[in-house]
Amino acid sequence: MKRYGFLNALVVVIMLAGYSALAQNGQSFKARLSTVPVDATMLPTVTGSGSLKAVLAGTKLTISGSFEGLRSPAIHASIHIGPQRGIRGPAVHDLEVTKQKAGTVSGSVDLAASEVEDLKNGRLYVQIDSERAPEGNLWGWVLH
Amino acid sequence: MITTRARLFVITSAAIALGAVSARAQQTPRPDSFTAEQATAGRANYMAMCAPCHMPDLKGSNEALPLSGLGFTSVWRSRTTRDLFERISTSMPPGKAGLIPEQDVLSLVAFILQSNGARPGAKPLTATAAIPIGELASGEAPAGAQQAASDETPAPNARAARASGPPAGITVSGEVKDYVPVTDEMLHRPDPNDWLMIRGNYQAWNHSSLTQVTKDNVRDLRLAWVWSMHDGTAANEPSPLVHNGIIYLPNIDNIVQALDARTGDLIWETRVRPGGSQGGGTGAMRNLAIYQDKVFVASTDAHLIALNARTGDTVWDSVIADTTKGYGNSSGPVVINGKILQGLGGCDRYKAKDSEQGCFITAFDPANGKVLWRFNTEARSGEQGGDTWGNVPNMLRAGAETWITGSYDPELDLTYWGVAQAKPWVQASRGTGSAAALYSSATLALRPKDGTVAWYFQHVPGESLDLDEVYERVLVDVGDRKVAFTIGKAGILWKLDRKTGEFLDAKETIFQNVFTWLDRKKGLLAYRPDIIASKTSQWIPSCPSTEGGHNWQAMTYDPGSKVLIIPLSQSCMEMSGRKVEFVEGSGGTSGDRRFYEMPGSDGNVGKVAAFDVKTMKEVWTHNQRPAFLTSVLSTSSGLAFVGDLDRYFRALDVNTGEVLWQARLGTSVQGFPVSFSVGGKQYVAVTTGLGGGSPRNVPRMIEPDVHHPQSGNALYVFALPDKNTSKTSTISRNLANH
Repeated sequence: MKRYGFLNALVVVIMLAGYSALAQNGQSFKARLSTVPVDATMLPTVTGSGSLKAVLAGTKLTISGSFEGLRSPAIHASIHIGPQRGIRGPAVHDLEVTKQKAGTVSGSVDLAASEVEDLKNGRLYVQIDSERAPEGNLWGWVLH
Repeated sequence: MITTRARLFVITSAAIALGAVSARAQQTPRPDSFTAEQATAGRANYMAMCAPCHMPDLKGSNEALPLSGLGFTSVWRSRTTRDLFERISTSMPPGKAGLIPEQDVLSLVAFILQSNGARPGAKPLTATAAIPIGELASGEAPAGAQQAASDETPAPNARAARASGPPAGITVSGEVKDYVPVTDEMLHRPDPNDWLMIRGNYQAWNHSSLTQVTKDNVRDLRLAWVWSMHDGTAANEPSPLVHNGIIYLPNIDNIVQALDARTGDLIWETRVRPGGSQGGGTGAMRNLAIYQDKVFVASTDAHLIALNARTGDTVWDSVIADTTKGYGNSSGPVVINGKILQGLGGCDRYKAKDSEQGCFITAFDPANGKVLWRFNTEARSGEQGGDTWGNVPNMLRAGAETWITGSYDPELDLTYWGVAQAKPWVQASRGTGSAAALYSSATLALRPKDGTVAWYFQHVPGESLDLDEVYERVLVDVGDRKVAFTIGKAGILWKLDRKTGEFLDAKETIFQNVFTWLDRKKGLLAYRPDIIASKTSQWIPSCPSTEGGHNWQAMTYDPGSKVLIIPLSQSCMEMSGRKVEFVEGSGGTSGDRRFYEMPGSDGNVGKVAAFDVKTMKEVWTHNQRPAFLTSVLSTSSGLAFVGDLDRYFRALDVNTGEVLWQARLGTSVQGFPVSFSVGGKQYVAVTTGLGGGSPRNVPRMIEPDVHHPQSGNALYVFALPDKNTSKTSTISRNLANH
């Protein structure tokens, strides 16, 4: 486990270095990762938190972040676009995610022009799914 | 007169009901899912643990959803016994999940199934059994079962006995010496040493003109005394009254106490009505009223009681409404020119009898409890506003409660009340379509002499997400304009002309994605289209959630800085309306909810912010992760006191929001802070408390990292140290150093 922790930290450092270089030339965004909509029955399986930063350079969006506290390993991460801020929408791009209860989420994607507008208007969010919450465990709205 | 549309509605409803009955008749329950012994044990457990919220007849109450009938089966028929077992295990009782032993949870599942028509058999229910509930339960209770459950004496354990015992009257005898009767003049111009009504004055300012505690010395504020209040499952959200050195304190379960404000000594205690499920459930009893020689109490089971202010003896007890029909109170009265005005809660159930329907603001005679007038906030067919309910019959006109005490302008002689939304919560559940449903979600200006309407302003016609607009109306003169401010769960701060009801301005105080402005100049909102088009069993997202925005924790008006300081919350939800039977006893709130953090809030659920009354601009804001759970109290020395879920009680600078002082109390700080003076000394009092609706349920979901003890209802009283005490302490320290 210690070895995985070191590797995770190393990945985060590399990503942050890359992010820092990008941020100088692009628009910066950030997101707080928290649980998707939950009721009391979901609390035993849907937990965790995290954060991420994003840089838009032209139409390329680069995302790097970390998460922790899941009750089961992450299985998938993706960018979604909702009709408005705070309202769920379909997945439009996949991201890389550590397949563990804690780790990193990252990726670099080319956004369509309409997706750039969605990003600037707060309609874009990142979602991480986990084994015990395959339809969404954490999400975070990517905002200025 | 019954219109064609109304006839069509009745026929359609009857057809749906017949269809449901027919479907039930064809169902053959599986008699192999639980035993009769399990159901019997479950009944006892239910009465002890569940009935205070879900009610003895399983019909639900406010945010505690129904556990019988279509309101239950429409959601649960497609799920399994294991789902229900896990639901109870992981979420009940709220805030104390996981404490009910497995066998007791299984017994509760058995009882709920039996109450919905399932037949017991020889095989006991187990935690791993996953039998579809739709195969067991029709939703139709065995004949007489629910009545039997309602009538049953609660389980004879100590908790249940305490919560549901009969009214005991005086439990501690004593007498307030040198009592001074409260006059109309005192109520019109309250002595700053007293705190004679909820929110401090008729204008609902939550402001004290006392100035002994200042920005410079508030850091020396310390505990003078603390009084443990009654604990239990009900919501502790009280506003103490203070008169001539005596505190009158409403406790949960319809208990009232008189305390010496200087020492915290108990003078008398009385239990005015039963508590727990026998006393109307777990709602709050937020405030009392005082007038002449009486203290007035609105009980959780919808009685209005007059107590002798000197002794606590009951002088009269008047029934406001029938609690067995769901009625209750969570806030108390206001006394205006010799009349006691009282709102009403729990108007969400359908009642077949004409005489049992309606939801009222009622005026009582303080001398004898006789009703002087009543105003029905559910406009009835054929009356003014009666054509705004989509032609549904009167029986289906539910909700529109007045569960927050109104305010009053003596000069205009008008009293202002907020009215809650129509019920069930979701338009698609209640059959009214998008009809406005007067006087729900409105500000009502009534003439206190006769209860007639001077004007009304409906903030959200046809409200559909349980985003209440029921809260305090704060009366402020802005320039030459007489203004009423109010803010609801949507977080929109409304500015109305309180003489005419004319819309003046509005300010969105937090992020919301529910409304667009149809006409900004007239204050007309339009719902997001998918909200209007939604059907039952469809999840609809909403920012904010039912936590608000704003909730019962009242704002303050600070006349020195001319700002409103408002406690706010930042959370969102998805809501799904349940199908509802249009029959006697049905109705309710009937919505399921899932909660999440508000995008852009950075996880800060709590927000308190100041708004200029002239410009409506935000002057400052203080954001934090824990939700705020008290009203804001401002003082003329420039302080604003507010408490939170994380046990902090703080004094902020009214000009900047800077934290100047804080104390950490025993559990979550919840209620209405007040300030008063005795013997020339200023005190600041606040309660800690547990229980309540969305302001407690939502943080439990989205900020489980904020922990507090699950007991600890109490009244804390703070003051500056006596000069003599300070000297003594200094001398003691000096001696110790030698």
